[in-house]
Amino acid sequence: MARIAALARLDPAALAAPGADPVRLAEHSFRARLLLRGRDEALAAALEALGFGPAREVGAVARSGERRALRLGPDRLVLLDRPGEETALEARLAPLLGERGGAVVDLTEAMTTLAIDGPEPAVRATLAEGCPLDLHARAFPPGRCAASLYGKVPVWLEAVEARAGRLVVELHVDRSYATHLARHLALAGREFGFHFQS
Amino acid sequence: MLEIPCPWCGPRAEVEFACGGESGPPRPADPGSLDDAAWTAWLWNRTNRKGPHVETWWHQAGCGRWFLLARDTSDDRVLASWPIGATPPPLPEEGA
Ligand SMILES: [Zn+2]
Repeated sequence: MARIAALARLDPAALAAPGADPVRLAEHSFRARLLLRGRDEALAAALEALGFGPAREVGAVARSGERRALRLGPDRLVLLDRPGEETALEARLAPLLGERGGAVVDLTEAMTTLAIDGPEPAVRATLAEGCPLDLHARAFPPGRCAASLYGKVPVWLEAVEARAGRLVVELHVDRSYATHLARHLALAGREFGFHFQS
Repeated sequence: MLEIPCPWCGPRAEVEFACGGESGPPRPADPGSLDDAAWTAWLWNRTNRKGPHVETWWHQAGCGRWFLLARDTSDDRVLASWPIGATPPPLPEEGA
């Protein structure tokens, strides 16, 4: 099966803006992305089976090695893992959740992931241009996630890590909106310098 | 823009939500036994009051849940929000 990145047709040079320490955007096309639905008890069982700690509170992120679980709602959890893991994860979780009245859907190829990184103030300002969340470091520190909007596009955001004054935030978005979202981010980041990694 | 307190996500911008209108009376248990006037009244008629009232909201772009929200229609103040089925907090009377 041919897998084509959602942003394959974007021209990095056309999106670039000069800057000494620019905001950088990269696409992680084929990250495994699964949506888990169900009651607390079902989601807790799935987290435990995969070796995660609990993530009950909406906005919490659980980590287990390269796997992450984003608690985006009281009855929804998004599981992220290395590319190629989605089929095995879905097969493992479907009976576990099904027995408890829940469900799992593989969204790997329905969505893509854009990672934005750069100096923390520039990254937060670039996001705030289009996203109505409270993006202050107190309200959205590394290890937090939220479902929200960027412009009019629904996105799932995760503040992944902050190190040495730099911040990485990932935005998970439906593939068909990804080009629009990348262009909007490029416009928002222009004033800080912008670099798109194709 | 209103700031809507989602019972699960906390305060969020109004653009993330869709309003489902005033929270109506419960659906009649046996709609077939109602005459047209009674059915129409249940389906369409709302109090549209001036002052605190309760409406349904959907956190469409957020957690995806429906919940109840009390808002004063005269000044748009949001008074409280709570999950459907939970006990509502005490609300001020009209004109209070
Ligand atoms: Zn919510």
